[in-house]
Amino acid sequence: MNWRHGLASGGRSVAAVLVALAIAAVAFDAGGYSAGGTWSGVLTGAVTGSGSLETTIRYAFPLAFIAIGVAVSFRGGFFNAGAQGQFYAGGIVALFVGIAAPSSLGGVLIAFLAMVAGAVAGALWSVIPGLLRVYFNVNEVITTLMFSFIADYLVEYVSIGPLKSSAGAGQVAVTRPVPAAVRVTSSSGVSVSVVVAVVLVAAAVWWLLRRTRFGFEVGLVGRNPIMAEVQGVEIQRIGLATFAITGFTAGLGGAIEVLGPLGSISNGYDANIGLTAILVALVGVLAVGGVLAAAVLFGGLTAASVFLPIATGLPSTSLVFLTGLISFLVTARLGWGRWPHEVSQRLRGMPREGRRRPLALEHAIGTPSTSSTERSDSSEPLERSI
Amino acid sequence: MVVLGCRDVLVKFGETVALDGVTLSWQSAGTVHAIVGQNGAGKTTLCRVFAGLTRADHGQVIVGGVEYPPSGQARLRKAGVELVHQTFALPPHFTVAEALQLFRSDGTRGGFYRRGAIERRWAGQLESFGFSIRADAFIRDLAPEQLQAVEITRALASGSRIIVLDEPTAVLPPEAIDGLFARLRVLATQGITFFVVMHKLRDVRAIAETVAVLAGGKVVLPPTEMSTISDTEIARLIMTGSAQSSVSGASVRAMGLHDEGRTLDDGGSEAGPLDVSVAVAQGDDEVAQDSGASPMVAQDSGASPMGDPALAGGQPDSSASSAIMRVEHVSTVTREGRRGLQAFSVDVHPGEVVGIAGVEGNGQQALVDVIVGLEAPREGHVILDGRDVSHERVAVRRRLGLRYIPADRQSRAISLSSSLWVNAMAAPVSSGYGVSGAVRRGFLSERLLRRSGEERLRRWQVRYASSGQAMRELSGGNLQRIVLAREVDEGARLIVAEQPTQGLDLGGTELVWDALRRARRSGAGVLLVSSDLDELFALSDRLVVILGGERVAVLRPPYDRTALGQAMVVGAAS
Repeated sequence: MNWRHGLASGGRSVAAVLVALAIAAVAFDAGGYSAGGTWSGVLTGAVTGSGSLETTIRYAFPLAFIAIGVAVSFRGGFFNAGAQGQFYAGGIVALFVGIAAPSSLGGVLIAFLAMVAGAVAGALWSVIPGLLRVYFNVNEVITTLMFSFIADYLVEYVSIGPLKSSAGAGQVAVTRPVPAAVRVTSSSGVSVSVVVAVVLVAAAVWWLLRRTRFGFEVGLVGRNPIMAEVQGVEIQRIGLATFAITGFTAGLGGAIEVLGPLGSISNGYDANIGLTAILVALVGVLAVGGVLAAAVLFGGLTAASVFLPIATGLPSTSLVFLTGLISFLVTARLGWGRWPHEVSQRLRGMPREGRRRPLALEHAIGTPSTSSTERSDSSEPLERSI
Repeated sequence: MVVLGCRDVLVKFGETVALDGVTLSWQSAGTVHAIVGQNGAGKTTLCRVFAGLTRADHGQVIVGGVEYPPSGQARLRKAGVELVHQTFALPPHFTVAEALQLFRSDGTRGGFYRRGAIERRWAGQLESFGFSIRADAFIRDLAPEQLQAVEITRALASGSRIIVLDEPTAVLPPEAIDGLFARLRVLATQGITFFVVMHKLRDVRAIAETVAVLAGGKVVLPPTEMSTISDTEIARLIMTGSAQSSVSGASVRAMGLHDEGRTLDDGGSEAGPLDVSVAVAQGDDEVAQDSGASPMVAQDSGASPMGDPALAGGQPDSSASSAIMRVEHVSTVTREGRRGLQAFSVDVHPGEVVGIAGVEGNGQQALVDVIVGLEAPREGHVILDGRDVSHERVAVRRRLGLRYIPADRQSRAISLSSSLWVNAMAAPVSSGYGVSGAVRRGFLSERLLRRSGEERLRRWQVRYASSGQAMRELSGGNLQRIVLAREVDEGARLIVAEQPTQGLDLGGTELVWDALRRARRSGAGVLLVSSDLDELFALSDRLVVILGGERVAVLRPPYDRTALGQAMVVGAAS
């Protein structure tokens, strides 16, 4: 993607967000809430209020980790939709390591090991559906989502099972906390080490995508997998690697969330973060810089949704409505601006390049997938192998 | 009264003239009329013009005595000429009844219907036309001849009395063809007029009462009673039409995308019927004109008999040791379990162009895939530069000097949404050759890569604004230039060129031929897989004929169309 396309895609995202804000304002007004008051409430909750900016950044961090990895998969044309599960896998494993490691190792080392273990766990959680996709052509959207459900139940099991806190008297089951020495942030969720981690991950992924053969090949596979194979790309390896990277960053985000602001795992925590992160990746046009900016935007909305009910009486779900609007406007194909090709095609359920298109469109009443052209051996061995 | 006809019809696709002042008319209803011609003669375009699917740039279509100018396309569509395509456009997950009901409002109540009602309705229709197909069967479960029957039913059920069938026999197994013909004859007695576009003279003879011949977008034989014309005469008209000028041949080929969608699959390799597109045309002195544009054309067709029959048995050629590429007794099995290649052998020496000739769907694709590395041979070996690469990755083969110009340009050769420099450098980067400074240990410099991509584009005189622009913004000829810029480079030792000029105009064709000849001069070997006989004759030092996945003959220049045609359809000469 050259800079002109990048600018067009980015502009489209910004426009989508602005239009969503405008529509939401009208809706809030119609609902009897003052739009002006709402937006000033959002601004206070996300930016200007005391501690607001910190809260925004705190919610932006996990989104940034997950979305950066998701962007890699999407660039390769692999619709890894299970970041939620990978995030959970990372969190659970980090919690175990954090609690189980002998404290004689020292908090810093344990925290580091727990983060690495969490990242690796996320990668493994992602690579299993990846293997199914790459070697057996099992639809990755379904398998990654199903793996997220499994992870949901693991979270439930962990929070009511072996690590259940005996002190907890609340309605939600909670695990024992990570030892204070192992925590990477206070409950505010912001610390130098986490900032460094975000910057390192963002820089590494940017560099991987723009300065390595791997990044070149990921883009090629995303845009035309058959052409890529003919050029000598090993599609299966590339595909697996993108799954691993998505899982790795999501797992790392999950580990930091648990070792940082949360300090423990409660049943059903951060329940929608994986899907929000997909939205962040799309709004950020799959570019590292764009994803970081989008993460801050959505982090701000999350922060505001905590503040709004107190300040304006608006229910916090009003911002879910706004998020929904943004996702609608960003994914709908409204004819303005453009999307990275691999995303727009997958979102619309269209075949990527390299698949045969319906031949006689004017006459077509469907895709002639039973035609002999389609069945000829020219395309199928390839499609099967990706 | 004129049942169907046209006057002075001109159709252009961009610069390409597909139909050039075609005037035709058929008088008799309730009969079967044939339209024949070589690939790219304009037959399919003509069908589409009749059905109102393609708008003529000039001229009138006449249906049932009524004239329709190009501006009357919408009316023409309603005039009742139904086209049955050679590829079936039926939704696979629908039942037969649903597919037939689609887009029809009759038989439903305000858009609602009951499954049982439409199934009864269409079962009755199918039966009345003599087809024994269950209306509740799923489209995806039907055999090709049944799909065709559904399409014909759809056409007939619209009340149409004129049905155009585009290559109806191409998709059918031989045993189903007789059934189709019997059905058409019965329907014709009920007053339906059929127009069939055909390739095989034997089929034409079996079903049609009149025949018209198109060549290079022009009528070379107006509708003529079959009883008054011999097969040889028809074959000559078809062939000379194409040999008349390489200009029209090449330019009409440029519309390959619109015309003559290729449908023969591996199963279509029946050896019996004589394919007129390769059939005989003795002593066409027009071939000599060709040699002006392409000096390699054999001057004297009809002089030489078959090549060396001793080589036809599948033995590797002599002096195999110096070959840049050898395919040794390779057999493959396609996904459907059908046979692909059968102990096929061929070798290519440096500085040599070896042509692979054969009717499409006889294993050419399997051969290319095995050499390029997209499919592994079940038996036998592929030797590239002295190394057995039968099970090596594409990248390894490319590093040994393999280059590939695919026929399926849009899916295999280029990425339309990628930028020009990415397309030009895709194989070097992915396979790791010829990018010494720009890619080191997997790390690349986009700046240097882009620069060397631009250098390739310049060398091949690609016209572009910025090397960062998307491929889809370029024209077809420019796209193929970029493919050449990538595949015909200094490192090329074996170039597999698959239909390399398909869809190109004359200039583009010359460019490709030039590139391949230059590669040969500089010592590369070329394996040319083409269904264009003129191209094979113009470039090949040797022709290997493939039939049913087997090597059936090897021919050497001067080439003889008769012998080649015979080898392509019936195998080795006795």
